[in-house]
Amino acid sequence: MSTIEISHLSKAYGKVQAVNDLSLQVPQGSVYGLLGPNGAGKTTVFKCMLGLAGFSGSVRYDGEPLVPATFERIAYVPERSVLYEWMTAAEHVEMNRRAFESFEPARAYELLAQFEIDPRKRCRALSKGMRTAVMVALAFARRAEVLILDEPTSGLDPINQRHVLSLIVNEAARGTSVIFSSHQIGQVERAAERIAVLEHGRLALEGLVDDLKADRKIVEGIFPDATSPLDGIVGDPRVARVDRAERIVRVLVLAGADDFATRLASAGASGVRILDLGLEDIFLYAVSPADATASLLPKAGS
Amino acid sequence: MAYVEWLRVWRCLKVTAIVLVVLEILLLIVRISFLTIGPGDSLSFVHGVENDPNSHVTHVTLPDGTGRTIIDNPKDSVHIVVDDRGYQGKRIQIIESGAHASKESHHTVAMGDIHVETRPNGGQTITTIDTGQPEDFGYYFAIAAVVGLIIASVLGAPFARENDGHLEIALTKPVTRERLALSAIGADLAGILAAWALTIVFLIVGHTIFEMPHYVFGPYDAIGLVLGLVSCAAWYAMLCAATSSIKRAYGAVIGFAWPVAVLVAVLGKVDLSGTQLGQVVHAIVTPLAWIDPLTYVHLGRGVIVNGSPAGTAHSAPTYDVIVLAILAVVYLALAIVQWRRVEA
Amino acid sequence: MPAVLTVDSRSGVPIYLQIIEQIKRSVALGVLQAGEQLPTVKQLALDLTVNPNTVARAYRDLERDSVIETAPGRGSFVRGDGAVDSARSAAADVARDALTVALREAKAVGLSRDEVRELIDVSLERWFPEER
Repeated sequence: MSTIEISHLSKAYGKVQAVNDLSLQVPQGSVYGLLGPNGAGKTTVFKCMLGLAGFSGSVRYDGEPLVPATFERIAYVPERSVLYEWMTAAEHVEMNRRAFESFEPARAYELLAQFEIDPRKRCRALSKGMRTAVMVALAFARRAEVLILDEPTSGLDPINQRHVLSLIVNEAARGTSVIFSSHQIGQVERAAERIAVLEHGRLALEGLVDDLKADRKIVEGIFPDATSPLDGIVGDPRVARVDRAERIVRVLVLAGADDFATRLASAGASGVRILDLGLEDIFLYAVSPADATASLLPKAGS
Repeated sequence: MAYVEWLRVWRCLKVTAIVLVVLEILLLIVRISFLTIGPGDSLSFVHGVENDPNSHVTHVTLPDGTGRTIIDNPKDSVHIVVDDRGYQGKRIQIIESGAHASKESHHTVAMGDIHVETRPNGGQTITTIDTGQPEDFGYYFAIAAVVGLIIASVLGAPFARENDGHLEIALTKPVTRERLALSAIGADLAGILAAWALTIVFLIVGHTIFEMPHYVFGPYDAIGLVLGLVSCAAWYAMLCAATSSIKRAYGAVIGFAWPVAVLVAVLGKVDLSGTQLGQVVHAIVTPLAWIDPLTYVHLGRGVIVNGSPAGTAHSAPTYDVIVLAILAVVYLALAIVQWRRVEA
Repeated sequence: MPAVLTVDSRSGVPIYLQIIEQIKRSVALGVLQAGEQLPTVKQLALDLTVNPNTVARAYRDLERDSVIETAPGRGSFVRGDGAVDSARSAAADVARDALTVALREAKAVGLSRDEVRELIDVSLERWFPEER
């Protein structure tokens, strides 16, 4: 029953602007992926959403600002371990049972067993990945309406990573709203309907995964010589970048790939083809469009 | 957060209980080893006279079971009667005549459950030492206060401990920060109270191992109890206020707090007006001493001479209790206000 | 339903299109029979570990293309009437596109008409052997 609305969120730590005028919406029951390089501000966004840091702008849940009672409906997995090292996982389960009405200890123990964690072990004896798993188990054992997950698979082996992904998919099927960040773009691709790419605290890209994949393509053509003009292509606002190496030209387009294919052919290119982009490529080009290392073409001699 | 704090308090109390039980066992061992030594050993003076070759030593058992030892030394004009009532304590009467009689006036000294009365009787001085007398709780509360202060220090940084990497779990609960803070404080104060109770039980048991205790609980003891508890609470509150905003080095802050507070308390009582530096120090220290809980702590009535406490004892413990209570509340409020603005 | 569906999240093809394509192929090949029940949206999402909305969208498109039909409360089933044919024709479209692209590439690479004819003849012999 929960939509999340972030409006003009800004947060500075001293002189550093960690988040800069960010606005996005998580529709009810959808899974939203937050991508971005390290230091892009993803964790800061989550902290602001949870009232753990002051900010300007607004964050609303179902139209209401965050109050202590809202936490009954929100479950959170932070990026690093915040468990009490001297307590056992079982004691954390008990702590949550007392704190939240909708917490189900049986489910928590079930999840801990699935992650192969001994609940009687003190948390300081658990590895980083296992601590993440404990926090995941604590969060998913609640019938929360909103899940906020900051790198919920960090430190986990591939089997457990897939397990967490299954849990997210399961929650999505139940209609829970999920917003999660991950460096595993393959995971985001599978689980999220919408993504946002953050860079230096700003929104670099936002949209439905399917639409982004359908619209963003690389159109490639081979010209008779290295200096053929590309009028009608370079200036178009739907073109994100153009790279050429000798006779090969590649154009990264944000929409209308077929149109550009035709234009390239009309401009004299042969062997015109349209290349699909995976989400990882879309992400990489979004965060460093002008960077030479993200060239659409491999460097000469490589 | 309350559950977590209760767990912390519980662990702390378990350790305290274990330490006290170990001490108790040690006392038991000491007591058992003393059993083999025998009566008349309690005072080295008595012992010395007993072993003097010029003394006549007689042992008699009175009808009520008391073992009486009579030591007569005509050479030194000393006559000692030691009544050993076993578990009920001892009564030693020393009669010094002649050259050894001192011209002292009649006075009494009471230290815990040992009462010493000295009175002149003609050309003699009669000193009566009585153990096993009714005892007030002053000493007990003093020791309990020390334990309480230590426990208060151990528990004294609940907010800093949460700040140190647990805020994401502590502050994402459907409870206001103020409520979380108060529940943690409640748990810690209950822990301090429990530590007091454990210590007093330990002391009663310890005393009973050696001697049958007689207790008297008067109004002075009641105030002493309240004073002790409130001073621990105020100390805890001060540490909370000092560490509420910090994340890491709260152990160092608590470690520094002790010597600084003791120094301030001591300097506040000393007359420094002699030198100019002294006056400057006095001006700095006086306001600090005012807000330092240790200034108001005094350990029991100490030694009582002729019915009143010796030394510089406070004469207005009620005033101290009120000031300490106010300090405790103010410090706690400061701690909570700071904690409301901490960011994860 | 046998587990013939796999999803490549790294491919540039949207996941819902991959699902549609693979279900159509299964129907065309007879792996999915007419009248057979498909897993629920939720179950398929869990099996493939993909967002349920993605599966829902695939099912919607399949229904629009008359390959499956969904009865509320009962589930989704492969259509009995002509679903196989439409699936087969969809699959045929994919094959046709692939062939066209291959020929275009061959031309761009510089193969002559005769060379291409030769390549096609070899493949025909192999995959479409004539009755003797």
